[in-house]
Amino acid sequence: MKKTRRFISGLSALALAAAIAPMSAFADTPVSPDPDNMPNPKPGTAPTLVEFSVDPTYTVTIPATVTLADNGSGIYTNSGTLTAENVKLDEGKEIVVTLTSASKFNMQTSASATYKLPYTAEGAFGKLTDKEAGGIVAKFATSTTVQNTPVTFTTDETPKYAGTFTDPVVFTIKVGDIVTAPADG
Amino acid sequence: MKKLAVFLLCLFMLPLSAITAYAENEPNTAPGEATVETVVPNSHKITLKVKGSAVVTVNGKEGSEFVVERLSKPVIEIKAKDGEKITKVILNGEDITDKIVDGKYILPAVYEDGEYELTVETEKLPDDSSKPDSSKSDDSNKGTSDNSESTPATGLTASTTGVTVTLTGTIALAAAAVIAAKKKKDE
Amino acid sequence: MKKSRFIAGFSAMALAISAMSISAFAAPEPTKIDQTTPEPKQGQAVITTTIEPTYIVTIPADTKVAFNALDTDFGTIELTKARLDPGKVVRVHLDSDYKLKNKADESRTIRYDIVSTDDVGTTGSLKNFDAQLEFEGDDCPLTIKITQDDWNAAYAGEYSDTVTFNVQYTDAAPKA
Repeated sequence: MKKTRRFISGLSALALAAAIAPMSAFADTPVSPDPDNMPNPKPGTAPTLVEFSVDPTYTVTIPATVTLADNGSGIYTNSGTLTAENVKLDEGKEIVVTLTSASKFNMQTSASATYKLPYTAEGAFGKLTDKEAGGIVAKFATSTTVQNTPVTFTTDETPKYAGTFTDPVVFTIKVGDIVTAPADG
Repeated sequence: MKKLAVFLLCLFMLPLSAITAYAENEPNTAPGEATVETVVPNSHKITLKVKGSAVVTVNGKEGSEFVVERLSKPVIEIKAKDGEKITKVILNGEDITDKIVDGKYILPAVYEDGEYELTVETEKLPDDSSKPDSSKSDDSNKGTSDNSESTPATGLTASTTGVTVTLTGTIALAAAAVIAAKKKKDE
Repeated sequence: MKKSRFIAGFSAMALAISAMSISAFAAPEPTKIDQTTPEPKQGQAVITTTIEPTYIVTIPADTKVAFNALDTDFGTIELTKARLDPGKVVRVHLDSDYKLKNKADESRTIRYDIVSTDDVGTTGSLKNFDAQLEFEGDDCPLTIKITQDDWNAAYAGEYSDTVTFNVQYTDAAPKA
C-alpha cells in the first residue's frame, strides 16, 4: 500500500512537470537589480510577449419553411427571417448570405407538372432579378445583439391552377471581407 | 351516453375536407334548374282571296278572314251563282276540282296562319235552263262555323221552271236529279 | 359500466389518434449554421403555398320559346372565378327528357333538343355529351331546337319542361 501511494505521487509530480514544461520552453528572462549601482540600482527591464486568439463565432438560423398566403388580390406572399446571433468575426469581415433556387424560383405541384408558378425573393438588398444565379439577401456584422433580416417571397402572377406548390431554396453562408457597396442580386 | 358517442364520432369527421362547388345562376325555378316554356296558340287566322263569281264560305261563313281552331280542318263551300255552273276550282295554284264533294272542300289541319287564293271558274248554264230562285238560302248551311264537317249541304243548285225548291239533305238531291232529267228530255 | 368503459376507451383512442396525427405532421426545424458547420455552409428552406380550387358555374335562366321557332337561344353555361387543380374540369350534365309537356294534358308533348359547342370543341346534342369547362371564362352556349314537323303536330296550349344542370368537379376526360 505505501509503495502504491508513493508510485502515484511520483506520477503526479511527473505530470505536473510535463504541464509546466512548455512554459519553460519559452524561457523566462530573469530580471535582477543592477549590482554595480547599489544601493540605488538601475531598473531592470525585459520584454514579455502577451498574446491570445479568439476564434470567430456566429450562428445563423434559416427558416425551414415559408408558406405563402393570398394577399387579397390573387398574389401569394410571405416572409421568412434569417437570424444571426453571437456574431464575432475578424475585423473587416462580415457574414454574407446568398439565396439560390435550382428551379430558378418556380414553384410546382409536382416534378412532372407542366405549369410552373414563378415567384421572386427579396432580401435586404432588394429583389433578386437574376433568377438563375440568385443573389445576396443578407449580411451580418460582428454584434453582440441578435440580428434579423426578413426575406420576402411573392408570386409573380395569379396562379392558374389550384394545388400545393413548393420549391426548395438554398441559403449559403460565407464569411467574407466587408464590401462597402451592397451587392446587387 | 348516446350523445357522447355521437359527439365523438363528429370529432372524427372533422379532418375530412370537401371541395365545395358553388353554382350561381340567374333567378330560376330552383338552383341548378331552368324551365323551358312555350305557348301554342289555340286558333289561327286564314285569309281567303276569291277570284271568280262563286259564293264561297268557310265553315259556313262568308268573308275574307277567318279564325279557325288550331288543327281543325275548315270546310270551304263553293256555290255557283244563279245561271252558272262551276267548271274548275284552283286553290293556291292546285286544281282541286275533282276533290270537291257536294260543293265542299276540306282543308288540311291548320297549324299556322295561312293565306288561300281560290280561283273559281264558272260557265253560264244554257238559256233555257230553269233558274232556281236563289233568294232563299239553304238554312242547312248555317250554324256550323266551328265544326263544319258535321253538316252536309247542297253545293250545286239545279234550276226549275218558275218553282223555287228549298230542300235539305237527300231530298234536295233527289229533286235536283228529277229536274236534270226533265231538262234533258226537253232538249 | 361496460358502456361507459367503451365510450371512455373510444375517447382515449380518438385522442391518441389525434395526437399521433399532429406529431406525424410536425413542422420541420430551422437550420442552424455556425462556425463549426463544415463547408459548404448551406441550409435549405421550402417555399410553399396551397391554393384551394374554386369556381362558379353560371347556368341559363328560364327561357320562353316563341311559337314555331326552330332555334332559340338558351343562354350559356359559363365558368367564372375558376382555379382548378391540374387535370381537373367542371363537368355539367343536363338532365331532361327533352319533351315539353302540355300543362292541361301531359300526354301531349313537343319534342325538343339542346345543342351546343363547348370549349374543347365538342358539338352536338347535350343528350350525348356533358359540357366540360376548365379555365376562367370557358363557356358552352346552348340552343333549343324544335323541328317544324313537331311544331305542326303540336296541340294548342301551354307547355313547359325543367332542365336540371348537374355540376361535377372531376378528372378531365382523356383527349382523343
